[in-house]
Amino acid sequence: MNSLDFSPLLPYAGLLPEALKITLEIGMAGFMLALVIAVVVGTLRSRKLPKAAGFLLSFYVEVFRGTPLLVQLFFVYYGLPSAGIRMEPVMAAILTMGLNSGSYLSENIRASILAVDKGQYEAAHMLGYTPLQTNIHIVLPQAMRVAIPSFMNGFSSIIKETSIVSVLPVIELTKLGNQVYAKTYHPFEIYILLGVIYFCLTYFLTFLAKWLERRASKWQL
Amino acid sequence: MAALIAMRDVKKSYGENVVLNGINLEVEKGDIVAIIGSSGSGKSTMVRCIAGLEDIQSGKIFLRGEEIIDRNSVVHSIGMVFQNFHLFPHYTVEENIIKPLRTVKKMDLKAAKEKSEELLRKVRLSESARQYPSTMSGGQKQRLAIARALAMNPEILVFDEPTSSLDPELAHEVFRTIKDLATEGQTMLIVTHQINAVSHFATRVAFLDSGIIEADGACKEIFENSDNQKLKQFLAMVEFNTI
Ligand SMILES: Nc1ncnc2c1ncn2[C@@H]1O[C@H](COP(=O)(O)OP(=O)(O)OP(=O)(O)O)[C@@H](O)[C@H]1O
Ligand SMILES: [Mg+2]
Repeated sequence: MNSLDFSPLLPYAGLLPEALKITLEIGMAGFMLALVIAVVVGTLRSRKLPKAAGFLLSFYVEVFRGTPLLVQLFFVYYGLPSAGIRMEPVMAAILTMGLNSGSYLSENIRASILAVDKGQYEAAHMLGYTPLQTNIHIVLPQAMRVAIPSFMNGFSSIIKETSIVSVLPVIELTKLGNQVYAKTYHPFEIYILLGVIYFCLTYFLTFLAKWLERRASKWQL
Repeated sequence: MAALIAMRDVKKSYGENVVLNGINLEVEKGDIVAIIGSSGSGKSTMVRCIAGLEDIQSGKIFLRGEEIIDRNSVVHSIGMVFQNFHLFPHYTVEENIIKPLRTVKKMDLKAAKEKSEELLRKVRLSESARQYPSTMSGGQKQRLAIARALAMNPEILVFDEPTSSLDPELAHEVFRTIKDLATEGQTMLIVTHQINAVSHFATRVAFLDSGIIEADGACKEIFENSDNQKLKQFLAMVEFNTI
């Protein structure tokens, strides 16, 4: 094996910021979408629902948890156009990652909501809170705090999983790596570098998670 | 004038288990009714029905002479204090009062703060305003729960065993607060096993046995002159000593 030599990659360094930007864009927007889906679906699934609605939501959750992310991505980007729904690859990636991660995180939210003491609902009700107000002001803040660690894990996962988007015509980090590999034949250095970049991103997130948890743990049950 | 609360032949069961078997009760403005009875006699169920937390199977409950059709509507007139406090853990002590005022009554922040200061002073918790409930003793928690309920200006305050999870000296603090409210004429229903403590300020006692009010009357009458056998047995059992 030759010794590590990063210099042949240097000419391509200028492409890195754009690729990083796209990775972060997909990761962050996907996570935001996942969060919204998780809160809405998790809240709905934590209560008694009309049969049809309950079935629909559990269908969504089961399907997205039970099929490969890659297949979901292909379906959204290559499959949906047959149904007349076309979108940019970045959009398709965001939507797929959001739906996929949302299905997992909604289960975390649901479990955290079910863990909130029934007395909280009764106390809020007796003070005059409507069920919606109770959910927004009393139950969700408590459930979210319990769910913070799994949310931050979810965020890390999304960032890492964005590499799968390299199968679409969009130049995010992994795709850039593949392209530079094709031009320079330095896979060892390229994929080490790629790994380091992803690691830095998720490592930063674990710090953010710890900070959030510290902030949130001003209060105890 | 119609009673503040009236229950007429109220029945409730859980499956086969008949818990309330025809309750008749009238609560007038200013009444402080102690509700006593052995465990499982239906005390909690009865006050939870009044508070609209449970459906009833038959009979009627009236609020100011009007039959309660939508049980959720009584929250505007009734406040509830629970055995396990049910404070909001993610709010500070003062926020436990301020936030409900803001959310429910749409009160502006300044007014809500003033109200919370006034109420915290009343239950002697001004020092703890910025703490979180988890840092407080059980007695402090229950006094905060009382202040939080009072913030909504309930006509009737219902307590379900407010001191049962507290050590005696902490229970004493809570009873002192309840007694202050009694002095102010607050209408209250208090389910309790601490008969001695409530006998100092209750205006009435209702004794529940197997889902029926076996005795209902002024304190003195109930504790000293009743000839109801079940009541006598119960009082002997809890080793009640006349004051
Ligand atoms: N949610 C419920 N589901 C089924 N049965 C219930 C429920 N709540 C109460 N019961 C039953 O109703 C009966 C009366 O209960 P309740 O809690 O009203 O008694 P209580 O007088 O408050 O007793 P305690 O002094 O122990 O609090 C008991 O037999 C209890 O098992
Ligand atoms: Mg009880």
